[in-house]
Amino acid sequence: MTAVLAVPGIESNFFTLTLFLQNLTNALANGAVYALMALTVVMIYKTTGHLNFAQGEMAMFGTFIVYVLTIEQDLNVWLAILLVVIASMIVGAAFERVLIQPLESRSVLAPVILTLGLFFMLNGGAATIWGTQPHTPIPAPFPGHLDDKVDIITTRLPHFFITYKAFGVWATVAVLVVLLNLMLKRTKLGLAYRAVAANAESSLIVGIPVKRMLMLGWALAAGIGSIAGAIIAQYRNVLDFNFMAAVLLFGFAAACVGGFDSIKGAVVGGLLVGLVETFTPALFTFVGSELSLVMVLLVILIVLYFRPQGLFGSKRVERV
Amino acid sequence: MTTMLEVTGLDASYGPIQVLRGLGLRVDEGEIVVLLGANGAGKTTTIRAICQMVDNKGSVRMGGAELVGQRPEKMAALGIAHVPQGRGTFPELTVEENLQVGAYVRKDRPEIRNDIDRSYALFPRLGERRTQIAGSLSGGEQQMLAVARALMSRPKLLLLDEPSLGLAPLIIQDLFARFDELNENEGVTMFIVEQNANLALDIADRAYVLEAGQIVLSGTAAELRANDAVRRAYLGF
Amino acid sequence: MRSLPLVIERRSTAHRSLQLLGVLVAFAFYLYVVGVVENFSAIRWAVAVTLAVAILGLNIVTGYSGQISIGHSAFFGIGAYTTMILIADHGWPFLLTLPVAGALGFVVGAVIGVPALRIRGLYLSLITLGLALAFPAIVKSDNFFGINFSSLTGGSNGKVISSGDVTVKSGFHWNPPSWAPDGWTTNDWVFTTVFAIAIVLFALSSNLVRSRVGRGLVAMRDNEIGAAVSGVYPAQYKVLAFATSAFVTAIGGGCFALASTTIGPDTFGLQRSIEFIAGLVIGGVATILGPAIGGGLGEWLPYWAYEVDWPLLGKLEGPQSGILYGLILVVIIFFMPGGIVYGLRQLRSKFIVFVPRLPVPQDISAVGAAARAAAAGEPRPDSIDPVSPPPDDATASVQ
Repeated sequence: MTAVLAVPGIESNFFTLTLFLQNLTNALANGAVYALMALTVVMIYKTTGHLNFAQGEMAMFGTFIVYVLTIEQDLNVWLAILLVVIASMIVGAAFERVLIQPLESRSVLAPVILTLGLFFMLNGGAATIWGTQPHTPIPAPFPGHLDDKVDIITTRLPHFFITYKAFGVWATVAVLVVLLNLMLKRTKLGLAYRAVAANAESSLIVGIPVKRMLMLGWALAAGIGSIAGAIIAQYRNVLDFNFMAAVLLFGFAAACVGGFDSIKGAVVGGLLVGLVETFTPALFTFVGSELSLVMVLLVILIVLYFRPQGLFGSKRVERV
Repeated sequence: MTTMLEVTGLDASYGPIQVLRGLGLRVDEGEIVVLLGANGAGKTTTIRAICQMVDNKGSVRMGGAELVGQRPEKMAALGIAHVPQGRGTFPELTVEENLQVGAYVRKDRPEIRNDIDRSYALFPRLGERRTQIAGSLSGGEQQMLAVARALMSRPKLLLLDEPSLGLAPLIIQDLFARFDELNENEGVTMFIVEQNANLALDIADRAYVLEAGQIVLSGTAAELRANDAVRRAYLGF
Repeated sequence: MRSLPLVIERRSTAHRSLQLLGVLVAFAFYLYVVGVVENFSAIRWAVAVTLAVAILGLNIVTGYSGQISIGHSAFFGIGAYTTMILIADHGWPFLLTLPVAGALGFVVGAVIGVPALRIRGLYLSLITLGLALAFPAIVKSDNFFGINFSSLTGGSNGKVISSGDVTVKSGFHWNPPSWAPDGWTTNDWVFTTVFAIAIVLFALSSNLVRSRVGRGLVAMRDNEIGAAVSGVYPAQYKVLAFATSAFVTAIGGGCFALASTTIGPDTFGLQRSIEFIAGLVIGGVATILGPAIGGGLGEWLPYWAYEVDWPLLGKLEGPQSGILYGLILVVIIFFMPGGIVYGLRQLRSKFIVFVPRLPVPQDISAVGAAARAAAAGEPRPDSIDPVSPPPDDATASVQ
């Protein structure tokens, strides 16, 4: 069935079943990655109250190191990812302790500028070390050949299939979210982290080393970011020094719509952002794909109008 | 009677503003000591200075150890539990989690579980709401939760900052009755900062009066009750 | 030898003399740029001044009202394009375009300000980020909700006016007037114009901050509930703050159009907004001089990073310049988190301290003495009427 809709402003082929499903799959796969980036935003924001604008570049840098270990040093890709995750967690915690903590007490906006400075340094650093050209082959955590897919509808054109990569992305996000939840809800460390997010002063009173929980937020964010970088490089088939910048923006957008201090919100927000990003240019003729981020933010504006704290955020007063 | 908390020559300031000057007081083991004073006298600052949450100079000795200069998160391990003004509960955590967090410095898991159950026995209302988010509790319930949370660390000294603030009179009476019980039956040493002098002096052993950052009067609860100035200023007759 | 720091009362002669000194320094700076600096650089200084004005606008909303806006590049662009279009396509005189640019900025700022009422802090920052991203895209698009913007704005090709010898169809030029000194070039005259406009705006801004409105904004930033209780209604002030800040930044944009002669949509995107915020924070949030420093940095920092021939390193290749840019940001903010102005104030406070002028204290003891004397039946110390009887005890009990 090919739906022919002659409504002005609506793409007529949008409602073609296979095209719609393909768009949906793509949207949810991208959305899953945005959810991961949103998680990094939330992990840092919950305890520290600020944003890390260099998160994407940290992830990008980590992905390049995965590339070096996997492609140049022939290490198993998952082992490389594991090593990079551990290293980036240490680096993330160190950044927080050494660069951010001294500034937090003195100015609210200073950490913003600091992370921006880090953004430029990491971005320039990666370009200096690895050049500005895209790198191939891209490390493949999941089977990524042309026929690594599950065909679902082959009776009509275009075919509808889901790649193993896409399944891989969803599986990774699901596993990470479950692990994160387990850590936060079932371990003493997780309880301490949530306590600091809920009431930092009372946490001091109770004996929790609050500063270490702030470092933990950055460490978790860095680790998740590295994983996100590796899987999105493969999914989108691009690895260059700029590939994470837009992803981080969408991650911020997702955290915004979900609520900056909610993990559930990060996941829902990410998927929502993925859907809006793919479907608005697909559905409306007057919106080109370069305007997709603008469309996403418009949707967020609408959500925030009705729920100023995001879909799942807590109602308390924001720290700037 | 052994002295548990000894404060001498305590100065405390918020930035350039000095709030406490040369403050001195002591709390002996097993006592309930009350600090009275009007708004702005520096009562909360006193507790916060003891807990090292405010810039301070001088000496605060707890069972022999000097607290001044230590970090605030070390206080729990030294046996001090602090119920701050406004309750200080963890709003997004459940009642049960609030109690668990209270025992953060302890490592004896089975005993912690017992203590949680005892908290529910002491405060049945909390037991009914154990899986509820603390932020959804009423003011009185949150105050009970805060006290129960403080007791979870099995403290040597319990510091309470204006526990009656914002609570209905009947609840306050009940609360203070429980403080008395805790002190009598469990031997919990308490230092209570209060504006509600009547109830506080009822359960106290000794009391101090704070004005403009300095102690102006001290004595047993009975002595302070009989004192004219105290009666006029804080007891209303 | 007087001991440091010197204590100077505000509004005293000493204070006024120091302020006058400041004005002279500004004037000397002006003369320096016009007289000494080479012609090409003068235009860079002009651009720096327009950036300073833009950041001055941002300061109103971020510095004083505490609402972070990552979208001011859009207001800058609105002002620039308005001026451009009016001059290049309609032959308007430059100065007349500024109020229009400002007004347009004001309206758009008010429109943004209304959702700002409900959305706070970080959420608001992201919405303004959307504005920064939307503006270049809309300018370039030929079909945004039906309007063809690119034909109006020149799309990706940008728009051109000229202040030099090459003229465009409207015959626009900005040459020095006949009464200007010999040897003044167009660039000098452009700099003079924007500098004068900037001085006016900075002075107005300074007054605004000290006025009731300004204090209301700060009250709102520091404690919204307290401010509301004191009669500062956050809703009105927020919208007003946004609109005013957009107004100022848009005027900066109009001046930018004059100084740069060509503008393209990407000059007004996210990167520009980030430059504004970085400039403001590094200069000094909620200060008057901060935006001026920020504007200077906005022009010179990229120059140092991307164009200068460094002694050891030579000219920095593309990506390396990003490292230097980032490094400078990190180093400055790490050692002066409050910004350069705060750093300078710390330094200054070792030498000079300003104290407010206090009202003359009442001699309370005299009042007390008078009351006691009256109670004792003695005549009051400086009694005007020695004949009138002493007041009775009832009035004498007044403390």
